[in-house]
Amino acid sequence: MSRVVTNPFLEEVLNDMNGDQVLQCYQCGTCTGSCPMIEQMQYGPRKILSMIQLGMEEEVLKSPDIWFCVSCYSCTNRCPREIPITRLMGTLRKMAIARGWAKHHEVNFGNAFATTIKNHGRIYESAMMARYFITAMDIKGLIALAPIGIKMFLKGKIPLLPDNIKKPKSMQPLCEIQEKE
Amino acid sequence: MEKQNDQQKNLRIGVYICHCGSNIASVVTPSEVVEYAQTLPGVVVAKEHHYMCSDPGQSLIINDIKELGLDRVVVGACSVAMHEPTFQACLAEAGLNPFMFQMANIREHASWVHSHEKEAATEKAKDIVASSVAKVRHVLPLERFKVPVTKRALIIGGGIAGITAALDLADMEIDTYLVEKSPTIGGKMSQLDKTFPTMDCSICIEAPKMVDVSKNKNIHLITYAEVKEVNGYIGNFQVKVERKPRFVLPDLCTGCGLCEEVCPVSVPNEFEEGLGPRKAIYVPMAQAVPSVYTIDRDACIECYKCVEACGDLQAINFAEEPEEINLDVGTIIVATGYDTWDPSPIEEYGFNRFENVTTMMEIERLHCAGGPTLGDFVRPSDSKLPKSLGLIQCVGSRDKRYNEYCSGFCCMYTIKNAMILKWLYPEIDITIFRIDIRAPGKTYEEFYERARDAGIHFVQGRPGEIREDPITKNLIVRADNLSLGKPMEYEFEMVGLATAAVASEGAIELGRTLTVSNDTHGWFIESHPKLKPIDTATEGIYLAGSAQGPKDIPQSVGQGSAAAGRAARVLSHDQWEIDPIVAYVHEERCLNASGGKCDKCLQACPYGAVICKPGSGEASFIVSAKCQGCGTCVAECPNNAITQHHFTDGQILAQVHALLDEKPEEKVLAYTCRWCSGMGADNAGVSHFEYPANTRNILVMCAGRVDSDFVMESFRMGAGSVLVSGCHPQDCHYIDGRNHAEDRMQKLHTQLEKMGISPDRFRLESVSATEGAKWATIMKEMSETVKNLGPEKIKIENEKARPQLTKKLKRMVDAPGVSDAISADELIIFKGEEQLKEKKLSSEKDIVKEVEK
Repeated sequence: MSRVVTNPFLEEVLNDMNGDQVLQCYQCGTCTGSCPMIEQMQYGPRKILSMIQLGMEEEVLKSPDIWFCVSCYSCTNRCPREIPITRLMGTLRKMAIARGWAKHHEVNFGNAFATTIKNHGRIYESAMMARYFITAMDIKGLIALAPIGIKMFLKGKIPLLPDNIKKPKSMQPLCEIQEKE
Repeated sequence: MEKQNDQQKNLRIGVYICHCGSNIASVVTPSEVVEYAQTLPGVVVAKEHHYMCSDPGQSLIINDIKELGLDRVVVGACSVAMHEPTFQACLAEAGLNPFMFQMANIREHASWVHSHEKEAATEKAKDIVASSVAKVRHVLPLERFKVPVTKRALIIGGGIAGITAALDLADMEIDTYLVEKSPTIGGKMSQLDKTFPTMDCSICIEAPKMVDVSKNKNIHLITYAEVKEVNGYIGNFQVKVERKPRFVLPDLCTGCGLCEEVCPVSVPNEFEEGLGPRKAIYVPMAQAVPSVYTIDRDACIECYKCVEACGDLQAINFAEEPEEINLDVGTIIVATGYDTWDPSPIEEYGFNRFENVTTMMEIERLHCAGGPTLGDFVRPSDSKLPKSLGLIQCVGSRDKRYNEYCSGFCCMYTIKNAMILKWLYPEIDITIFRIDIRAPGKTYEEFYERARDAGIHFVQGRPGEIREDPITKNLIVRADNLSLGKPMEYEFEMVGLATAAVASEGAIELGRTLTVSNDTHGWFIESHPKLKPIDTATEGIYLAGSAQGPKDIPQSVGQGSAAAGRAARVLSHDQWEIDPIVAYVHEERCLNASGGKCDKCLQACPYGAVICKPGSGEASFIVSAKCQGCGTCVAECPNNAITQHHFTDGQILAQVHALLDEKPEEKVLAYTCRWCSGMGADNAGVSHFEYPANTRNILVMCAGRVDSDFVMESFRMGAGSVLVSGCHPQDCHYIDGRNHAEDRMQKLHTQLEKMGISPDRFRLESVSATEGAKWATIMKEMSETVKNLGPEKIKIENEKARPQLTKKLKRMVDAPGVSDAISADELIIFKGEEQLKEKKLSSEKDIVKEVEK
C-alpha cells in the first residue's frame, strides 16, 4: 500500500536514508532501556521516535537529547525493528543546525572538536577548549572545569603547543566527507 | 484462405449474446454484435437472449446444438467465474464436450465499465466475441482423467495435531501410518505442565490419546523414523521411511527399566530441556508411547551392563541396523510442529552467560510435577526458590533481526506459567515485561484479567539489557516503563524468556522432499491463506498444526481434524479426477531428446511435476497428475516443446490476431491471469469503475504462461500498448509463476526498448482480485499513454521494430499448432520477409563483388 504522510516533518525524516524506518517503531522501549545517557536526556530515544511520528518538529530538534547521544550504538544493535537510531540522531542534529535551532553547548563543542581535528590532525586540547569556551560563552562551564583543567595542565596533560600529525591536511578530506554526511 | 481452412474443418460454431436484462443491452447493442458474429468464420448461428443463464436461454443452446449440429459454443455474457460452469454443463447435457466452449465477457469488461462510450463499448464487445470465436475454433475436447486412489494415509509428526489427525482417520476406517522422528509421540504438548486457559494437566489429557494411537488397529505407528523420499502424486504417493535403530527390540522390551538402573552413563535429558539427567539407555518420559527403551549410541560406552540386566528377555540388540520402510499412500499430512528458539543471539539478555536467565520451557519443566525437580520450583544457580521472577516477552519474535512474525501463543504461556507459580508459591513476586498482550482466543482475555487479579505485575516495555550481580547471582533488568515514561531498573532472582516458536529442524529439507514450499522462516505454505488453509499447493498433501505457523493446542487439534477431513475427502474415492488443463511435452522438440542440456522446465515448475534429465537423451516428461496447469514451463521452454491443453500457443495467438485485427495502434492489450488480475478486472466491472474502451483482455491461467513471443507478436501486429498482469508476489495461485513472468518480462522490456518501443507502452503489473480500482487506473494510464503518443508515432515505432520482431518470432511459427492458428497470409509474411532478406543479402554481396572487381 502506498504511504500517505500528511505531516511535513515526518515526511522529511522518512525521506532521509537514516529515517526511512521510523514508522516501523512499535514503542517497545528497548532503545531507552539500553541508553547509557538516558539520565541526561529529556525524552530518550523511544519518545523521540514517537514525537517524530507525530510531527513534533520543534520539540525534537530543540531537545538536548539529540546532542547527548554518544553513538554507542546500543539502541541500534538491540532495536527489534532494525531502526538505525544512532544514525538517525545524526540526521536530526544536522536538521537542527540547518534550521538554526541548535543552540546547545554540545553543538559548539562538536564544532570545536571538528575544527581542531581539521587543523591539527589530532586532538589539541588547549585550542579546542579555548575555541569551545569562546564560541559557547560558557562561563559557568569554564569555572566548573577550571580546577581539573589546572591540575591536568600542571601534570603536563594539556600541552601548550600543538602536537600535529605528520600531514595535518590529510585529515581534511575525511572531515569533509563527515560534514557532507 | 482462412475461410477455406474452416470449411475444410467444417466447424459449426454457435454464438449467443446475452442482454443480462439491461445490464449489457443498455450500453452494448446486442443486435449489432449478433450481426457481426454471423460474419465470423465458422459461425453457423448467432442469437441474442434476455438472460442466457435462464432456463429458456440454456434450452436455446441445447436445442441448437442438437438441431443444428453445433460443435462449439461461444456465449457473450458475464465473467468466467460467474457462468462458465453453467454453460459447460449445458454443453455436456447436449452431448458436447464441455471444453468446446468459450465465454466472452461483455458485461464486466464492456457494458459495466464503458457506459459513457456506448459505440466504443459495442465495438469492444464485437472484438471480445471475435477473440472468443477465434479461440474456440482451435479448442480440443478434453477429458478429466482419473487416477486410482490408494486408501492409506501418512501423517508426518506425532504431536497433538498428528495424533488427532491419525485418530480421526482411523475412526473413518482408513489405514494410517504415523511417522514420528523422536522415540515417542506426544510432541511439545507432552512437555507442558498445564494448558491455558483451563489449567488442565497437559500430559493427563494428552496421554490417553497417545495410548489410543498405539491401541488402534487402523494406525501403524512408526517412531524414531524419518521420511527420506517421496514420489508420486495425489492418490499414489510412494514414501521411503528410514527407521533409526533403537538397539532395543520393541516387541520384546517390556519397559521394565532394569537396564536403565544399571546404565552408568548420564547425559542431559532433552525432554527436560537439559535440566535433568537421563541414562544412555532411556525412555524420554514416563508416559512414552511406545513405552520402549532406546540406546543413545553417541553416549553409550558399550559396557553391556544393560544386556546383562535384560537377561532372558534378550530385548537388546547392538547389531541393529537402520531399516528402510516403503509405504504406498494416497494422501500425506504434514504435522511436524515447531521448535523453541535459542535466545543466545540476543546477547544483552545474557542467556547462557547468566545462570538464572532461563527460557519459558525450562520454567515449564521446573514447576512440572513430572519434571527434573519433581515440581520444586528452584533457580539454577543455588537450587533455591526465587522470591522474585521477571518474565520477558517477544524474545526473538516480532523482531526483524531474528523472527519477524508474532509467535502467537507466548503471551498466553507466559501468563500461564506466572499463574501456576503464583498459585504454587504465592510469595513469589512476578513481573511480566510486555510490548502488547495478545489474547484473542476464547476466554483468553478473561485469563489475562485473572492474572492481573492474582497480583502479577505487567510492565509495558521491552527490557534493553540484563546485568548479573556476580555475588547474589540476581539479575538487574533495565527497562523503559512506558506507563511512567521513564527507564527503570528492576532486580529479580530469576528471569524467564518467552522465546519465539520457529519451524522445526529439517522442515525445509522435508519441504523439498515433498515438493511443498516453505516460507522464508521455514513454515510450510498453505495453498490459499483464506480458502485453503489446510491444503498445500501440491494436491494430496495437507498441513496440520504448527508446521504451518505457530499455533496453540486448540488450533492444532482443530487443524489436525481438518486435515484428516481433507485427506478423507480424497481417500473416500476409488478414483480421483484431475483437471485436464495440464502441460505436456512434444518429445521430438525437447532439446534433451536430441542430447541437449536444458532444465528450464524443471526450474520453472513449482510442483516438481517435471521429470527432466538434461543430457540424458531422454525428453522431459510432465506428470499430469502433479501438474497444476499454470503453464509457466510452456512459456519458459526455449524450443516451444511444451503445450498447455486449452491454452495452446495457437489458441492464444488466434486471440491476439482477432483482437488486433483493426486499428491495433489505438488498443491496449492486457494479458491477465485467471485468479488475481482476471478477477481484479471483473471486480472493476462489478464496481462500475469506468475506464476507456480501447482496452482488450486475454485470459490465461497464470501470468507465468505469457510467453515473451505473445507480447512481441502483439507489437508486431501493431498493438498500441501491452500489459502483463498477475498476482502480487505473495498471492500467486501457482506459488511463483508470476515471479517467472516478472523475470521474463523485465528482460523483454529492455529488449523492446532497444527495438524502439517506448518503455511506457509495455507494462508488468500486479493486481489482486479486490483491486478493481487499481485495474481501472492502470487501464486509464495505459490508454492515456497510447493517446498521448498518437497512432502515427506508435505506427512508426512498430514499423521500426517489426523486422527484428519478425526475425525473432520465426521460432514461434513452427511451434506445434501455431501455423494452424495464424492465417496463411501471416505465414507468408514470416517466410516472405525471410526471402526478401536473403535476396537483399545476396544482392549486397553481388555489389561487394562488383566493387572488388
